[in-house]
Amino acid sequence: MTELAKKEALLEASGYRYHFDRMIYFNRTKRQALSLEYVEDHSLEEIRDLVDQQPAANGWAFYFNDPPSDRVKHDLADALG
Amino acid sequence: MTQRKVEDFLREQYSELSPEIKKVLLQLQTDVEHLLLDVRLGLKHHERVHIEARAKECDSAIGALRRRIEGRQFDEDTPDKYTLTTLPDLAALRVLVFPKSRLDEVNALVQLKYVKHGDWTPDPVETGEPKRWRAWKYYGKCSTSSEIQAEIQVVPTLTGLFWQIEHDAFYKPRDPVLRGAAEKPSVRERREGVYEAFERLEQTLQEELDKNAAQDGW
Repeated sequence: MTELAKKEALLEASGYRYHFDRMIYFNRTKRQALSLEYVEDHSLEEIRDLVDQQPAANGWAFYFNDPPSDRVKHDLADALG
Repeated sequence: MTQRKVEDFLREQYSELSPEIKKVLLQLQTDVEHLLLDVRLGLKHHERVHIEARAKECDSAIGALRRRIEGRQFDEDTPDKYTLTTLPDLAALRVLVFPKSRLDEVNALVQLKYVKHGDWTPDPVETGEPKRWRAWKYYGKCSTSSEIQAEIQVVPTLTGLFWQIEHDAFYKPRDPVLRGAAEKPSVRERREGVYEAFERLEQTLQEELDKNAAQDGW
């Protein structure tokens, strides 16, 4: 299994779903969303640390390489439900 | 009145660019056909050099631009920051070549004309973990347009034919869910296995053809 596939397995085993259209891993309980690019560019340990974090206090927390604008966050939050 | 969305602006841009995309494609195809004429005339019975040309369609171009953005979400507050002219392949040629020796020959000609004697950028296709070379790719502009970027791919035949199948199966239906599934790491890992298998198959095929040629020489 490649490093990337291991990260995917970790996320899915931790209750994250893959949004096929947005190419985002997201967890509604934790209100966390990680872009596929972010997962690709960060180590398994970094992803594990995120998975272990407490849920975001206010709305969704987006983990992107290029931080999204407020408008994009708003539209993505709508899409993620 | 409904506010126009980023996609609406991009559709308008595409319709303005469309005639220019066609001109670029015509120039590119004609130039590469001419460049490879001698190679193609000299092919042995089992050798292949096949040139395919395509202009990116409107929806495909907008989709490609969207997929370059994390989260695949245009920022509707800043429509001006998006333009189709950033895409490197509005007009594109794919040259499918068999066997490897011809692939190297074709690539050397393309590289000489477009990179060494031109100002195109090499952008080889590398996939997998660790990264492995799959095909040659170059992008740049033709003299007929200062706006449209074009692309030339020089690809081993079996890999190129697999890309066509993949495109028809996963991307042509324009189903974003199917497309997203195809990009999942677990699916990508399987795809790498296919590339490896094709590479080995093509290499073995070449070895057998070489053996046959040596026997003919006896």
